[in-house]
Amino acid sequence: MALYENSNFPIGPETETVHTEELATFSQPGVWFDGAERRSIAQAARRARIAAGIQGANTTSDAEHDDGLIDETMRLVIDAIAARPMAITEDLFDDAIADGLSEGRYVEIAGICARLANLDDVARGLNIDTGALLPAQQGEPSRETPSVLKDEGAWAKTIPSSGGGPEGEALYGGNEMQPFIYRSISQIPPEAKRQMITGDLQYLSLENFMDFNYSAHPSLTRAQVEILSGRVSAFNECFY
Amino acid sequence: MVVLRESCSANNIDVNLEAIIDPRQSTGVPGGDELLAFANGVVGNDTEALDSAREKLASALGAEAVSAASLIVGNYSRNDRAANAIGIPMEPMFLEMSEDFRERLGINEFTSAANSLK
Repeated sequence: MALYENSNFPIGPETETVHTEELATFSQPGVWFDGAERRSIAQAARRARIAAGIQGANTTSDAEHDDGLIDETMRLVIDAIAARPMAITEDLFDDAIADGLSEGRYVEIAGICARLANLDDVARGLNIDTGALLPAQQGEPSRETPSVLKDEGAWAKTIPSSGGGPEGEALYGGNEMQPFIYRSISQIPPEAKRQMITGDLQYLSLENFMDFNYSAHPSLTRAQVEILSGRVSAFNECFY
Repeated sequence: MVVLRESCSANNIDVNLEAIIDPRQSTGVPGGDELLAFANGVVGNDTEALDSAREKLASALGAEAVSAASLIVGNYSRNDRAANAIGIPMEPMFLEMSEDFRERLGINEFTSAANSLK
């Protein structure tokens, strides 16, 4: 069944295609986790959201199954990012690293939880079931750490958009003024790439950001779009 | 909120930024109150309020607006989590542009403010 087939509110074919691909990534091998582990992280994120009451009953039953691939350190990180983003402090990151979770694994978990929240909140907005996670794909994680990671002032190191070399060029397409939000999870380039693809599609592309009359959605003005983004960020207490 | 204020200014709309923090207030933007209630419903834990907000939004701005609003809310639900989880600081230009309202609205008290105001 197509992802948005049951929606009473229209979703365009490009968005449906990109979101179907997005959903599949949670069961594919990543950089530090294999497909089964990534799927398990996504399941745990959904369980955390259900427990917090921010994911309704229309969540597919695959979230109920716990296959035991998540240790306590990972669970604490997943719970915070998936269900309580407003309460995250640097201690979450520091404690996870002190407990043996590598920086790369932390960032990959952040990418999975953040991107899944996108899809699941879209489903909640449309009043449809969340997309079912696909079976885990076989294969090894790439275990590739970018060679150009820098401390740019965040807790985790990132690929800079200026001076990022070929890896920065490949990720940012030559844009040397990439905003920090799109560099945030760049330590895991495939996660950052997906964030940018869906950001361009759902919000707007960067070249239109400073055109305050531009909206990618014909049904909403830019001011109306920014009402939504402002309220969500206020709710999540996101200073950025 | 900087972009909200600028986009309203470009269209001669007198926006009430306090409503973004306290959604019981009115935004001053056409359709803004329905959008606020909808955003609040999607990210919050009151399903009945969400269902009601969805109906009111569809009635006020149309079915396409519900779709678009869902995509925007989801987009920021993702970005906020990435930003807060990695502790990224705000760019200096936006820090400067938001200085006049952050303290008044309590934004400097957000837990994640520590990542930018250190």
